Amino acid sequence: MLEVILYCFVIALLELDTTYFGQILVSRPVVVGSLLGFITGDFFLGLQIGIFTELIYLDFIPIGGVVPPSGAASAGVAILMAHFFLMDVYFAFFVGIVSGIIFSFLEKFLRRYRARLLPVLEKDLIDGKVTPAAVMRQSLALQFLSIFTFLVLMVTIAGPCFNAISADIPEKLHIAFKFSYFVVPWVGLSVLFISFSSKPKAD
Amino acid sequence: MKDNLKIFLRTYLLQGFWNYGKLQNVGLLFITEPALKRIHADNPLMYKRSVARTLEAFNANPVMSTYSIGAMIKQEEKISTCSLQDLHDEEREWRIIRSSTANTAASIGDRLFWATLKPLSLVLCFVILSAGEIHVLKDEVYRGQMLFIVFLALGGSLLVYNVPAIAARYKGFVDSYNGGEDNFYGLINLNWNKVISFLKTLGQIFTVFIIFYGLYIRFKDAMLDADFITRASLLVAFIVLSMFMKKLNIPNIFLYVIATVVFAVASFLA
Repeated sequence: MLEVILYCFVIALLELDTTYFGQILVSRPVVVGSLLGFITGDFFLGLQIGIFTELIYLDFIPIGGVVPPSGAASAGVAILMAHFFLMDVYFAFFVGIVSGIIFSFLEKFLRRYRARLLPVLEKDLIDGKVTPAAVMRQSLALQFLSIFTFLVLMVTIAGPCFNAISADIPEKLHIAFKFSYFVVPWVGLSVLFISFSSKPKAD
Repeated sequence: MKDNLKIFLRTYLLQGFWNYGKLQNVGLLFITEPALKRIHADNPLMYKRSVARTLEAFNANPVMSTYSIGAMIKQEEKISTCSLQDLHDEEREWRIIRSSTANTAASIGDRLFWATLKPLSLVLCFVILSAGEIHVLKDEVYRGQMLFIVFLALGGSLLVYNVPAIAARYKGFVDSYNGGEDNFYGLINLNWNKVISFLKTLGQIFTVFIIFYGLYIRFKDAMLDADFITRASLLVAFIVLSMFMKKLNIPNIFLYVIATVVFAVASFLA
């Protein structure tokens, strides 16, 4: 359990880079995946999950209020599932993707929550009762705790659930998940090619 | 400007209080606070007024936002020295500058950094991995030099994104602070469309290379049997489908979920 908490702590720290602190891309799935893969001892698995996750999320661009599924959470959960619960990579990847999507709903909730705090907060900032730095610290702490709690819950709930049913999963389902996992990078690369095709007119 | 470094570093927290009400407003205040304190050091009322103005809704691309921030600070300095009669006009000008530069910088930044440089850096990572014979599109066992190559690939991809991002952040601030309406606060100092177009062409070339090289590596040892033909046909079908879905603006992820469900149902029916 301590190990799970430690890994979730690292993922939650890296996830902050997605929106709140930095945007220097250390939260991108390929980085999170490689790092976790290295720590857990399955470097290639981490790298592969990271790249596949990144390819599948590439067409989500965080413009304006768009909240893309969390790539860091997806890659992180997938690797932890594979590592701690010996989940097959194609199932782990699926659980990771679902986690990333669920996390985007939590993220939307947090953004709405902050908006509700605004009227009082703005008044306090104008009156000098609170400093912008203090607001930033509290906001980052809240965000970090939310991601961390989400990750720990996701791993500790989904993992044992999988273990309980893994023996009964029919072989056919394995084949289906395996094949859809095999399709992921090719679909991602073809979409990548199309997105590079839409160029502005250089005058 | 004395506050350059402080403001530059603080720009990394522009989205630290991202909210659906006024988007990046608190982050913007956090960034400009040192400059506002300096500008209105001897006038607390004007400082409060500037804080209230800064807390109005703001949204820009985090990297390119500095093109707006520098121009806003410059105008703030003008506001601090203007007469009471001109105050309203100068503040209105501040809002115009803020809105026009933020919108333009957001448009350029989203296209350049999110839609071009980020995917390009991933493609570059792929190319370095392929050159190092690490084929993520195929199951591969751990090999000795892997760590170094992955480190090189990740480092390279992070640099490809971050070096231009750091340059744009800093240059944006300096250019917009020193610029004016003549050069649209530094935003027209560079032909952004040309840069984006060039980078996208580069991305296309590399992506084609990865696709064909990946296909070669994946299938070079495959036997031309029924299993191979089924796999190859399904793969081509999904590639065509993904291109079609991209045209319809349907994200990739749904295709993956659909594929999983379709394969699961098909495997039970077979």
